[in-house]
Amino acid sequence: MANNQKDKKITIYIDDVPYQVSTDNNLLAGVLSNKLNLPYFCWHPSMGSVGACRQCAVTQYMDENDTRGRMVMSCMTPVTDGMRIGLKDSASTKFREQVIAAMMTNHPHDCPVCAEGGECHLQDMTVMTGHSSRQYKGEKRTFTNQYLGELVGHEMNRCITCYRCVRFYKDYAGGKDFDVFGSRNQVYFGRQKDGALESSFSGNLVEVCPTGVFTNKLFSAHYTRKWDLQSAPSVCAHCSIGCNTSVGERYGSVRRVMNRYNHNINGYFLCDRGRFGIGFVNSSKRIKSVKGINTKVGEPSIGMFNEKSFAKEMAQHRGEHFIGIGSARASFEANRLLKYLVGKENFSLGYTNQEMQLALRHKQLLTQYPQQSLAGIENRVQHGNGEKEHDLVFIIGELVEQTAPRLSLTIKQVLRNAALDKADSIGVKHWQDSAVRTYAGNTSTPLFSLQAQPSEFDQNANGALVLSPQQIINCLTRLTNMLKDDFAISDTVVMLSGQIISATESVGSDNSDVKSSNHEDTFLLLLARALSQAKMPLIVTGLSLKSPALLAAIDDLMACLSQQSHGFSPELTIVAPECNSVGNLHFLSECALSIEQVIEQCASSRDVPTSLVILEQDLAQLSNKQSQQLRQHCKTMIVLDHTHNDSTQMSDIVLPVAAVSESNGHFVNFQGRLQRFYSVHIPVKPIMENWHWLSLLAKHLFNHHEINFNSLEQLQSFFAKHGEPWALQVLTCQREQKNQTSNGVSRQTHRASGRTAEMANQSVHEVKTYLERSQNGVLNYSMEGSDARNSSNMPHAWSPEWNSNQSIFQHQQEVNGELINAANENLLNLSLSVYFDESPQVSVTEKLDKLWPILSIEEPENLIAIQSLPWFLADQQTRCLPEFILMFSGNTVSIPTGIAEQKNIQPHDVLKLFIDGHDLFAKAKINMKQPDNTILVSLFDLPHTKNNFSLALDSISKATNDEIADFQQGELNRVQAAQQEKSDILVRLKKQDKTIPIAFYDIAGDFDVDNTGEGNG
Amino acid sequence: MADSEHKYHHQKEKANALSTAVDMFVSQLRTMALVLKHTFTKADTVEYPEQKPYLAPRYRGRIVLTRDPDGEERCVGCNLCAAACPVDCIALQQTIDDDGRKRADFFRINFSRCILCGFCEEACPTYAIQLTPDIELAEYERQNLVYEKEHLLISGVGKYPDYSFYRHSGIEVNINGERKAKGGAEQEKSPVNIKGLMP
Repeated sequence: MANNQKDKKITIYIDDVPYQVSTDNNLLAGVLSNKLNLPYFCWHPSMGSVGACRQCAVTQYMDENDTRGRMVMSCMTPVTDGMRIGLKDSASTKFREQVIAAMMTNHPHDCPVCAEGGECHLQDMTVMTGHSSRQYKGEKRTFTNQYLGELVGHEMNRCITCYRCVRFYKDYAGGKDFDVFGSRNQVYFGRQKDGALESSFSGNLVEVCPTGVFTNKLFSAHYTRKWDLQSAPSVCAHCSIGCNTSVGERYGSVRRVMNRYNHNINGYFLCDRGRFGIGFVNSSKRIKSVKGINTKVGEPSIGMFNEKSFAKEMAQHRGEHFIGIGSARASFEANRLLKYLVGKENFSLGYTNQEMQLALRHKQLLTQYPQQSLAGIENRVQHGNGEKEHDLVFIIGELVEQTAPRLSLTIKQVLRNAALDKADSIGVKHWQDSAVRTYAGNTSTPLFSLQAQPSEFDQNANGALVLSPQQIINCLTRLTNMLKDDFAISDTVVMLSGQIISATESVGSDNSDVKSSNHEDTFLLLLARALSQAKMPLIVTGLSLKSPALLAAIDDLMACLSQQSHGFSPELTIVAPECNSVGNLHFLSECALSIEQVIEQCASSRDVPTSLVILEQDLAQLSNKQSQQLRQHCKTMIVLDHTHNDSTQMSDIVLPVAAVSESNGHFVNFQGRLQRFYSVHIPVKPIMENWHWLSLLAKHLFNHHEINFNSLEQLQSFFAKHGEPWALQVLTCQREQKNQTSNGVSRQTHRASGRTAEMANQSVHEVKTYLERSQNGVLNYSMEGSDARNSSNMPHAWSPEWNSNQSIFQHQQEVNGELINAANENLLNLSLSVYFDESPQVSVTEKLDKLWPILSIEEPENLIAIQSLPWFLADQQTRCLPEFILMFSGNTVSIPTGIAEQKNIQPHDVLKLFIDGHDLFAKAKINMKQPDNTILVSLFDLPHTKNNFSLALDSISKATNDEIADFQQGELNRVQAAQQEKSDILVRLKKQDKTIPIAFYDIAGDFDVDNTGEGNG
Repeated sequence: MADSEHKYHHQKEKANALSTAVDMFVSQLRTMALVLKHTFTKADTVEYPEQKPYLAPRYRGRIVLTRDPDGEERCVGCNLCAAACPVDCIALQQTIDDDGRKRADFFRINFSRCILCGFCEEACPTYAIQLTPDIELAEYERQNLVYEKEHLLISGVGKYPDYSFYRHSGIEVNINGERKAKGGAEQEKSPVNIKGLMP
C-alpha cells in the first residue's frame, strides 16, 4: 500500500539483537512482525490491545547496562527508538508460564473431544510457554452452556476470559445480543438468554476465540482435525465481494470454510453466509447424474461417464441453432468459452431487458469510478492518517447487510474513523482499543442512508430516510441540483451532531405528505452540508433495486461531486448482485441478447429450430410467463448446473456441473478483481467442471475441433493466443506462482493421516500417490509438494509452533500487512463499447431504451414490492442449506399503515399475495415508517432476484381460514423438511466416508492434467 | 640347509595332519555325544502353534480398542492415534451420539501396513487404543488384515482398569444412563449461577 511509505521504521533491541519495527503499532506487533514467538491472547491484529490477559509480558531495560529491567505488557507498550527488551530472560519467561498456569486452573479436561484441538491457540501458547503439567489440585469452576443457534456452539468451561469474543461481536461487528456478564473469576460470555446469535458475523467467534468456547456446529457435526483436512484456496461464491476462503475436505466431502487472509479484501473476517453457506455442496438437491441421455441399463452412474453415448446423443442435436445463456455465478472462463462456442450474437447473460440496462449502467459507472478494495475503504494498516480516510458515508438504495454482509462490516469500521481521529488528536494511538473507546465514546463518522427499507445502519445515521425507489431517485436528483446550484452551503456552519435526525424521527409516525417532505428537506439540507464539508465521502450503492434510473441518478451525483474543487475525492462502491456479475460485464455489448430477445429469436425461427445451452443459470429472474414461453419456443434445452432448480426441471438434458468447491476458475469481484478459486477435491463423475462439459459440447455438438481442453490452463492459453488481455494476465500470474514452488503446493498438511487406511476397506492395495504428472500443477491432491507457505495461494495457514489461524502473522510482511508471497492484483479491464458513447444526438438512455426496452405498465395505484429476506437467504445457492432454513422465522410481509387501514389488516394476519401467477402467503407486519406505496416481502418461495416489482393493490388479500391452515402447515413442513434434510445429509456423508469412490481417484487416468484430475492411478 | 629345511617342513606337515585327524575324530565324538545328550534333554523350541510362547503384558502386538469401567467405548475419535501413526494406517471418523458422547463412526486399522510401533497407544489421551501381546496376524489374504471397529473393539478395560475419560472431562454426557451435567465431573464445582447477585 502507498501508506507504507509513510510508515516509519525504528530500531529496537530484543535480547540485544537489533530489529526494525514500525512506529504505527505496539511492541507486540513489532515483535511478531519480526516473526519472533511471543505468546498473547487478548490482542488481535485488527482489534488492537486491551491488556486483559497479561500473557505478552516482556522485560524492558533502561539501557544496555540495566540488568534488572521491569516487566511490561508488550501489547500496551508503544515502541520507541533504541528501546531494549528481553523475551528470553527468566523473569518474563517464568511470568508467562505462570499466567498460562493460572488460565489452565479451570480449563476442563476435554481437548480430545474439543473441536478446536489441533488448531487451538491456547494449546500452542501452553506449549510455547513450557507449561506442561497442572499444578492446581483444587476444584474447577464450571458454567452451563447456552444455545446460540444453528451455527455456533458454546462450551463456556473452556473460556480463559480474554474478552476477544465480546470485543469482536459487540465492538467490532456492532452486535447487540452478546455480552459479558458476572465478575471476578465468574465472568461469563454469552447472551442474556438462550437464542440464536443475531449478527451475521457470529461465525468469526470460532476463529477469534483462542480456544474452543465457540465452535462451528456444522463442522463439529461432521468433524475432522485441521491436520487431516485437504484444503484449497477458494473464493466465496455467495456475494460479489469475493472474500478469500479456504475450503476443507476429508473423505470426499467438504467439511468447512475458514477465512483465508487477503489483505485487500476480507482481512481476518468472513460473514456467516460465506462461512456456513458452503454446505450447499453437500445438499441432497445436488445433481449427481446426467439427465436426458440414454445410458445402458445397469450401467453405474456414480463415478462413470460414458463419452460415447454422450456423443451419440449430442449428434442428434447438431442441426439446431444454439443460443447460450451464461450466468453470474459460473466462472469467468466458462462464460467466455460458452460465448465462444455459440458466437457473440447468440450469447445472452440471462438478463431481462431491465437487467441489461442496469448492467450497462453498472459498467458505465465502473469504467468511470475505480472501485476501492475493502482495505482501501477501511484504510487498514495505518490509521490516524487524516487525509486518506473517509469522513462521510452515504448509502443509497442497497441493503448492504443483506446483499454483501462483509462490506457492511467494513462500513462499520469506516464509521470509527472519526473516533480514531479524535483519539489521535490527544495522542492515543489507534491500537489502544479500550482507550480509544473510552475517550471517543460513540463518536462516529457522519452517515447518511437513503433506503427503500429500514436498515441496521439507520439508528447510527445522522440522517436516514426510507423511501420508495422512485422517491430515492427524485431525492438524489434534488440533491444533485442543490449541490450544483450552490456547493458552498457551508457559510452557515451548523454542527451536524446537533441535528441528528434518526430514522424514527425522520420518517416519523405522522404520514402526512407535508411532514415527510419536510423530513426530506431537512435530510437533504443536512446531507448537502455534510457533503460540502467532507473531504473524502464514501458513497455505497448497489444493483439490488434493479433500477437503471437509480444508477443514472448516482452517475449524475458523482459527476457533480467530482467536479468540485481539489482536495475532494468522492469514492463510489457498487455492490454487484452475484459473485461473477462484474466478470459478465466484460461480455456486455450492444449485441448481447436479453432474455426477451432470446424468447423472440426462439419464437421466430422457423426453418432451423433454436435450442438453448444454459450455464448455471436458474432463470429465477424471469416471470412465470417468460419461462413458459422460453420453454415452448426452444427445441432442446441443455442445462449445466450443480443444484436442482426451475431451469433444470424444465430442461431436456441436464449435465451435472461441479460446484465451486470442486472446480477451478476465476470470479471477478465488485472491483473487477479476477480471483482464482481452486478445487479442493476432484468431482465424482459424471459431475464435471463446467468448462470441461463445455469442451465436450464443443467436440460433440458444436464441431469446434480446435477446442479440446483437458485443463483450465489450456483454455486460458487458447484465449491468450487470441490476444485476450485477461487470459494473458491470468497466465502470467499463474506462471509466477509456479516459479515460487517447484513441484506445486500440497493441498494436504504435512501431518495428514490415514493414507494407507482410508480406502483399505475397499481395497488393501492402496492407490499410488505421486506428484502431478505434468509438472505445471499449482496444487497437488496429496501431502507431497512444497510447503503451503511458499505460495501466494496458501491452502491453509500454518507455521511451526502456530497451529491455529493466528499463524497468519508469520506469513505477513508485517502484522496486518500484505502476505509475503502476495499475488499480483489482477484487475479486469472493463471498457464500454463505442456504441454507448454519449453523443449529442442520442443519449445513452435513449440507446438503452431502443436496444432493451423496458415495457413497464406502471400504474400509480400499484404497490412496489421490495425484498427484505434476511442475509442468509439472500443468495440462491445457500437457500438449500437446512440450517439457514431453520433460522428463517417464516414468511412475512410488511405493509404501511395506510394500506393496513384500507384493507383492515391487523398485525399477524395471514395475507395472500398473488405474485407472478402464484399465491404466496405471509404473516402481516405493520410498519408505520414505511412509504405508503411499498411493501416489504420476505417470502421463502420468491427468488431474491425478483426485487422492486410492482404489484396491484388487489393482489393482496386476507387469507381464508383454510388457507391460513395450509400456510401454517406449509411453514411447519418447511421446518420439518429442513430438520430431516439436516440429519439425512449427515447420514449420507458418514456413509460416504466409509466408501470413498475409488473412481474419484481414478480420474487422472483419462485426463492427464495439471490441477484438476490428479491423485492416483 | 635348504634340504634340512625342506625335511623339517615335511615332518611338521606330517605332524599337523595327524593332529588334525585326531581333532576331527574328537570332534565327531563330541558331536555325537552332544546329539546323544540333547536327545535326552528338554527342548528349547516350543511346539508352536500348539504351544504358545510367553509374551509380557506390555508386548506390542495386535491393537485393540478398549472400554471404560462402565462398559462404554473409550475411543472419542480424537484422531491423535491417526496423526501419530508413522505409516498412516489408521483412519477414522468422529461422530457425536445422542448421549453426548463422541465415538468413532468408523475406525479402521490396516494391519498389513502396521509396524506395531505403539505410537498410537502413546498418543491416545483416553487409554482407548492399546497394543496386546497377540502377534498372530498372519493371513493368506492381505485384505483380511484390514480391521474395522467391530474387529478392534474388545469388551474389557485392557491395561488400565480404572480410567474413564468422561468422568474427568467437563462435557455433558450420559454415564450409565444418567446425565452427568456440568459440574458433575471429578474435581468440579457445581455451575456458577451467572444471574446471581453475590460478588
